[in-house]
Amino acid sequence: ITSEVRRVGRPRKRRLVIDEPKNISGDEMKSQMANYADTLQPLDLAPPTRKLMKLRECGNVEKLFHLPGNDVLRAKALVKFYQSSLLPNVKGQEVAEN
Amino acid sequence: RSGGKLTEDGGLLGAVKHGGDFKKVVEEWINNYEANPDDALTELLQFFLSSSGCRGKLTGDMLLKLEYSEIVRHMTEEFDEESGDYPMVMTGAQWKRFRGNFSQMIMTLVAECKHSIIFNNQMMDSVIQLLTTLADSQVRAFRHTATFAAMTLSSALVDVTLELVENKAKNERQIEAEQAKLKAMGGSGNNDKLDVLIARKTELKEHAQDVSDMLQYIFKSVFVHRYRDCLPDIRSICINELGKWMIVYPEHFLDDSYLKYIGWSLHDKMPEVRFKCLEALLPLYNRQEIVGKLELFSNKFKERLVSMVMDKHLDTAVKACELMSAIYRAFPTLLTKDDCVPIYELVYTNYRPLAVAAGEFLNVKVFPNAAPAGSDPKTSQNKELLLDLIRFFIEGECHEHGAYLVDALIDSNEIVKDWGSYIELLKNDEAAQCDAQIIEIMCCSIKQAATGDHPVGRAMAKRGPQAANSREARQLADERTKISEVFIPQLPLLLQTYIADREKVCNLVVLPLYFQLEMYVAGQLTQHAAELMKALENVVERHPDRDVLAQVAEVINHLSSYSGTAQVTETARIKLVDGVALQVGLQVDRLEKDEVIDEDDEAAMKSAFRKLVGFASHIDTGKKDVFDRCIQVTTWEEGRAPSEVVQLCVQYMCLVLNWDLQRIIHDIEPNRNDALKKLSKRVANFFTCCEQIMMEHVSGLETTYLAMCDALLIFNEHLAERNDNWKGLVFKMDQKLLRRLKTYVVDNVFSQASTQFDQQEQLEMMMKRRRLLANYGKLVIYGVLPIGEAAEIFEQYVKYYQDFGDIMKMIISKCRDAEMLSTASAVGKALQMAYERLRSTSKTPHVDPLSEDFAQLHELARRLSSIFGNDHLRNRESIAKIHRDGIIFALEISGGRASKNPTNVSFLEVIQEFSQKLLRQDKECIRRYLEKHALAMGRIPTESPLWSSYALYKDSLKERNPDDVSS
Repeated sequence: ITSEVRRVGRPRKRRLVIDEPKNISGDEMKSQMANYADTLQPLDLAPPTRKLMKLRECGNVEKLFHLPGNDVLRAKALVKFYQSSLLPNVKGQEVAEN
Repeated sequence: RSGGKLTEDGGLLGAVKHGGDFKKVVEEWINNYEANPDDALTELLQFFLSSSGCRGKLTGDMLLKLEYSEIVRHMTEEFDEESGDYPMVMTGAQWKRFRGNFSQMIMTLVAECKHSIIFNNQMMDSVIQLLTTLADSQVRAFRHTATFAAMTLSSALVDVTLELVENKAKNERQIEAEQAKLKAMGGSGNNDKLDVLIARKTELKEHAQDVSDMLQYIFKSVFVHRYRDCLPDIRSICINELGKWMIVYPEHFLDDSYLKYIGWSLHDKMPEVRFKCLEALLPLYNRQEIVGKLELFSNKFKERLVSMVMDKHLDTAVKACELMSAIYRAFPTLLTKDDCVPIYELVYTNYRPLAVAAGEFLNVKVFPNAAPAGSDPKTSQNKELLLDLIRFFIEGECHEHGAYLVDALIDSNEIVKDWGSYIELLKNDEAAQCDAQIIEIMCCSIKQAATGDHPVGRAMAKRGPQAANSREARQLADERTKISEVFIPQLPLLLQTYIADREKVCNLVVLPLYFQLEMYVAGQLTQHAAELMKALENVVERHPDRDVLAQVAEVINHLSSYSGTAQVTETARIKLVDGVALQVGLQVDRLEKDEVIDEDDEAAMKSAFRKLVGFASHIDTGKKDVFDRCIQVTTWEEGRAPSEVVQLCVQYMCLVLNWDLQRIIHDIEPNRNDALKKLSKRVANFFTCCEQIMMEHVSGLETTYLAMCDALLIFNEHLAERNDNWKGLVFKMDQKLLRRLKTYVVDNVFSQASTQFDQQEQLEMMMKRRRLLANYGKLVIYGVLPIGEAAEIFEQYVKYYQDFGDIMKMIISKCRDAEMLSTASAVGKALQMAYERLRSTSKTPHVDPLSEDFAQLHELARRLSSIFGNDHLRNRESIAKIHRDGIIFALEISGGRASKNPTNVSFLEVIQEFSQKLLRQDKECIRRYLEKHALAMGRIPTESPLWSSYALYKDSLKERNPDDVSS
C-alpha cells in the first residue's frame, strides 16, 4: 500500500510517506466483516489442576534460583538461612585438573 | 507577524510545540485578524501546514490566486529532506504533548471565535477547505494531521452546537416571558426587548444552521473516507471523535446512521481500532436515558460484539467483557446462554484483568442482589447465591480447584468472603453433595483474603507506593481478624466432621496460618486452641502422608510463635515428635533384624518416614537421634529398604543438618564445641552416604543430588567468613564428587525427552530437569564450583535454549557480572568441547566448516559472543583470551609433529565470531600472535582448502576501512 518518494542523490535517507491507495477498499472492508476469526484466539486457560498450578509456580526461574532445590526445606527459618548463603561469590579460577 | 516566525517558536505553532497560554495566543491572533484578516488567515492556514511537518511557506498571494488543491500540491514538495517523520508521529519528550496541545489549540480557537468570527463566511470556510484538501492527500503527514485537526474541529463545533441549543431554549423562554408580560399589561404597544429577543432568535437559528452545515460537510468530506484510511491511527482518530460526539450530543449523533461506522470498524484488523470502537460504545451503554437508541445496533452487531471477548488483543477482550456487562444491564434478554458461556469461562483465564472483567459479568448476571459480607446469613440471600457460585464452579468443568475463580471475583464480589454463609451451608447439610467444592472455594478465598496473594500467573506487575502498601497491610489484618473470629471456634469442628476426606482435610488444616493469633486471647477463644491441637493429632493419625504432615507441622510451628497458643502446642508437639521417632526406630530395628519385610511392614515403614520428614520440614525434631538410623538405612545395599524410604532418609538428614546449624547459629546449644564437632561429623557422614547412593543406586538419585546441592550451598566457605568458629563446618568437595554431580546433571538435563508420556507427565519431567540445572547453576554462581565447571552448560546454550534458555541466561549473566575473565575462558572451553564433539562424530578427520552442524556451532559462538556486550574496552582481556586459547587449540597437532596439518584448524572460523569484539589495536596484536604461533609450530599456511579457515580468520582481524563502518 505504501511507497516512498525517492529522490535522486541521497538514496539512504528516509522520505515522505505516500499512501496509494489511501483507503481500505470496499471489498476488503466486506471481507473483514465476513471473516474476523483471525482477530480471535482460543481461551488461555490458567492451570486447571492444583498440581499443574504448583508446577508452574516452581518452574519460575526466580523461584528456582531463590528457593532450596529440595522441596522439604520449607520452614521459614531454614529458607531464610539458605537465602542468606546465596552470596555472589564466583570462583574465578581455571577449571581444576585431576 | 510573518509566516516564517510560525515555523520557529512563536505564534500558534510555537505554543503547540512548547506548551503555553493558548488563550492568549488565540486572542493575539484574533486581534491580528481584526486588523488584517488576510494576513491572519494566512497565518492560521500556515499553522495547519506547519503542524503537518511541512516546511513550505504560504503567502497571501498564493491564497488569493491558487485553488486549495494547487496549494497542497505545491506544499507537498516542501518536506524535511531527511526524515519521513512529522509531529503527529514524532517521539521524544518534546513531541509527547503535541497531539494534546494541538487539539487544545483548535478547541481554544473555536471557543474564542464562536460568537462572531466562525460565522463570518471566511475564516471557517478557508480552514475547512484546507483541512478537507489535506485530509484527502496521498501524503500521509498531511492526511494524518488534517484528519486529526478536522475531527477535533468537529468536536469543538459540536460544543458550539450544544451551546446554541441551550441558548435557543433560553431565548424561547425569554420570548414567552416577555410575551406573557405584554399580555398582562394589555397586549399592546412596542416592546424593544421583545424585538431584540426575536432578532436574537433569528440569529441563533442561522448560527445553528451554519454550524450544522459545517459539521455535515466535515463529516461527509473527511470522516466517511478517513474512517477506513489505510493508516490505523487515522481510523482510530475518527472513531474516537465520533464516540465523543455521540456521548455529548446523543440527540443528533446517537443514531444508526452514525453507529454503523462503529459497527463496521469493530471488524478492523488492527487491535487498537477495535479497542477504540469498544471504548466509544461503553459509556453509551452506561447511560440509562439514551441506551434505548442502541437497541437496533446491539441486535445487528451482537454476534461480533460477543465474539470480541475472545479478542487476540487482551485489552480489547477486557473492554468487550465490560461491554457485555453493560449490554446485559441494558437489554437483559439479548444475550443467550451460548453468548454467555465464553464469558463465564474467561474467569479461568490467565490474564487477570480479563478474568476480573468476566467476573464482573458474572456479578451482574448471577449475583445482582448480593448482600454485604457479614450480613446475617439467616436473612440474607447470600447463602443461596453462594450455592449458585458453587454450582457455577462445578458445572463449568473448567478447573478442578478454586484459586483462579476466587481470584477473579474476590475484589468485586462480597459473597466469596461471606464466611458466615459458608459455615451455614456446611453446617445445615443443605449442600452435602458439594461440600468438597464449598470447602475448596472457601479455603481459596480465606487464603487470598488473608495474604493478598494471587495464584501464579495472575499477579499484577507492580505495587503502589509505600502508603498504599501500609493501607493494604491494614486491610489484610482486618480480613484476618474477621477470618479468625469465625474460624477459630469453627475449625476444630470442621476438621472433626471431614476427617475422613484427605482433600478436605488438606484444605482445612492450613487455615490457622491465616489466623490473627492474638484473637485467641483477645476474643477469649483459647479453649479452641486445645480443640484444634486435638483435631490435628487426629489428622496425623488418619493421614500419614508427607504433605499433610508438613502442613500440620507448619501450623504447629505457627501456633507456637505466639505466646497465647504456644503453651498448648508445646505438649502436643513433643508428643507427636516422640511418637514419630519411636515408630521410625522400631521400623528400622525390625528391618535390620528380619532383612525381609512384608507389604504391611513396608507400608508402616514408609508411613513412619513420611511423617518424620513431614515434621522435620517445619519443626526442629531436636535431639532424637534418628539421624544415625538414617545413616544406617542409606548404607544398606539398594533394595533392602524401599527406595522411597532411602530418599526420605536423605531428605531427613539434610533437614537435620539445617536444624543443627540453626541451633548453633542462634547459640542455644548448651555445649557449643560438642555441637560443632557433632555437626561437622554429620556433614561428612551425610556427603559420604549421598555419594555412595549416587554411585551405587539407580533410583532416588534426584532427591540425593538436590539434597547435596542444598547442603553444599549452606556448608560453603561463607560460613567461615561469618564466624571463625564455624570454620570446621565448611565442606570441601573433591574432584570425584564434582565429576559425579556434573555427569549426573549433563546426562539427565541435556537429553531428549521421551514422548511416551502424557502432557502433565512431560511437564513434570521438564520441571525436574529445570530444577536439576538451576541448582547446578547455583553451585557455580554462588562459588561452590569454579566457573569453568559451567562450560558444559554454556555448550548447550543454543541447542536447549527453548527449554532452559531463561535458566542458562541467568547462570551466564551472573557469572559474567562477577568474573568476566573466567567466564570468557569457560565460553572458550565450551566452544572447544562443542567442536571436539563435532569432530568425533564427523566422517572426515577434519571438521568441515561448510557442514550443517558447523553452522550450529557458529550460531553458538555468535550467541555466546553477544553476552559480552559492546564495551570493548572493558572486555578487552576476556575477548583476547578467547582468541589466544582458540588459536592454540586450533593449531594443536595431535600425533606429534610428523602429522601434516593441525586437526582443529577450522575452529578458527568459530572464534572469528569474536573478532568484532576486539579493539583495533588488539586485532593487530592477535593477528601477529596467530602468524607467530603458526610459524613457531612449523606451519606455513599453504594454499590447501584446509587452510582457508586460517585465511578467513586472519582476514577478520584486519581493521576495516573506516568508510565501510556505516553499512
